[in-house]
Amino acid sequence: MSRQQRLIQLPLVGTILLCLLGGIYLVAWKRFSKPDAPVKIRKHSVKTRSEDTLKYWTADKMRNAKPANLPNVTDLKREKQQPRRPPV
Amino acid sequence: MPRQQRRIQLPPVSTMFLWVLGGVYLVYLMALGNVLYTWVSARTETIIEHPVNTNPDVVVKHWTVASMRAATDADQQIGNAPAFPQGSIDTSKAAQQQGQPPRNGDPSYPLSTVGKVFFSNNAGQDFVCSGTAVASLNQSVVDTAGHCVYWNGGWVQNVIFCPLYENGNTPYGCWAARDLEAPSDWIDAKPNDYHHDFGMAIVAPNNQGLLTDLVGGAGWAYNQAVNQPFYAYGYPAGHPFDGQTRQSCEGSLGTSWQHGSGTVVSIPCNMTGGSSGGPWFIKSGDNWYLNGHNDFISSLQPGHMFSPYYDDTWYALYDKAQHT
Repeated sequence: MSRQQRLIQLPLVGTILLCLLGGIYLVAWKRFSKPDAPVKIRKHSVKTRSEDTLKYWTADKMRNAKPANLPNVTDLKREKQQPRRPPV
Repeated sequence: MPRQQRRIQLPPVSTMFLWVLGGVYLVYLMALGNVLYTWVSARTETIIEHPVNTNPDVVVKHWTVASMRAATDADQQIGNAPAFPQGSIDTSKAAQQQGQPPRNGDPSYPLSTVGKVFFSNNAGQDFVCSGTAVASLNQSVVDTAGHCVYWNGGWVQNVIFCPLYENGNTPYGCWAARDLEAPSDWIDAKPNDYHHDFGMAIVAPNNQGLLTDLVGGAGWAYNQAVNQPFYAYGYPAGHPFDGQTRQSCEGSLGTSWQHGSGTVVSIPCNMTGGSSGGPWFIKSGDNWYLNGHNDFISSLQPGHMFSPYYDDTWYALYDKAQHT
């Protein structure tokens, strides 16, 4: 084996150690380096005074308020794997 | 150099490389050691026994009515629930919080937390949905559907919440919203994507006090397994219902679906318009936890009601609302 070859050849222990470190690094990187994107919440402050809002809703208005429609959706696909029920 | 020595001697390049790697590894361990410790230790539960030395009579005497009332609610702490791998649902971050009974001990709790949500759209038309008073730090959070607070590109107006509504009667009155909140995922959602159709109203105190002081606050849970019994409530006002009484769909197992860019859950239920935002509870022993709401229907699955899956986004919204 030439001197050049010996320089770049790692002994067995070194190779195993490198592989081990590389593996640990990959596992840890996968687990910790991808934090979930922060969830953005939008807020709307109501300008009307609460007393005025409560006065707006007379018994008649409450009774005559229309039901908000339940949206009808067709974009649905069953999840392949059904989750298990947790123990009580 | 003897043969034995040569075998264990590393070439200089390899030695340096190993030292560098070792250094990086040590820095990494120092930086993330705490996280790793928590990660590993969470998997090994230790039970520690602590004998109580105080005389039981002394303990009972300690709890006067005043000290009971002044006690801080320990249930504000979020407990981690067991994780259950399931499809595209990540239950590894499941959490739940117990409810907060009303001050007066209303016997109908936790159903005393369910009520009607009235609002007007930008055209001045009056509408009605359903909602739930949720246990929260500010005692003022109402959970409902996103389309009951933000619809057709605008926030709704004149929002009030009337728990325990029945035939025009509201025993504790109604509460007016001072803030409305919804996730960007709902506000910026593509048409017909309801998987994050979450909405919350933060209500101002009425002349009787804070909302959950009067009617209690429902416990909640998120990132939970889906195939367990759900108990749905609401005030459907579309035919054949008239919206004047609370209706329910109780005890059916949930089924998970892919919808839009996320997961939704269905149960057999024939409630109609007006029930949007009404709670879905799951139960554990005597405790009820809000874990969904009436949100939409599908002609592909007649006779079923759908809810967005209560996930991290729901919790983020709830947490923002309870600090508003």
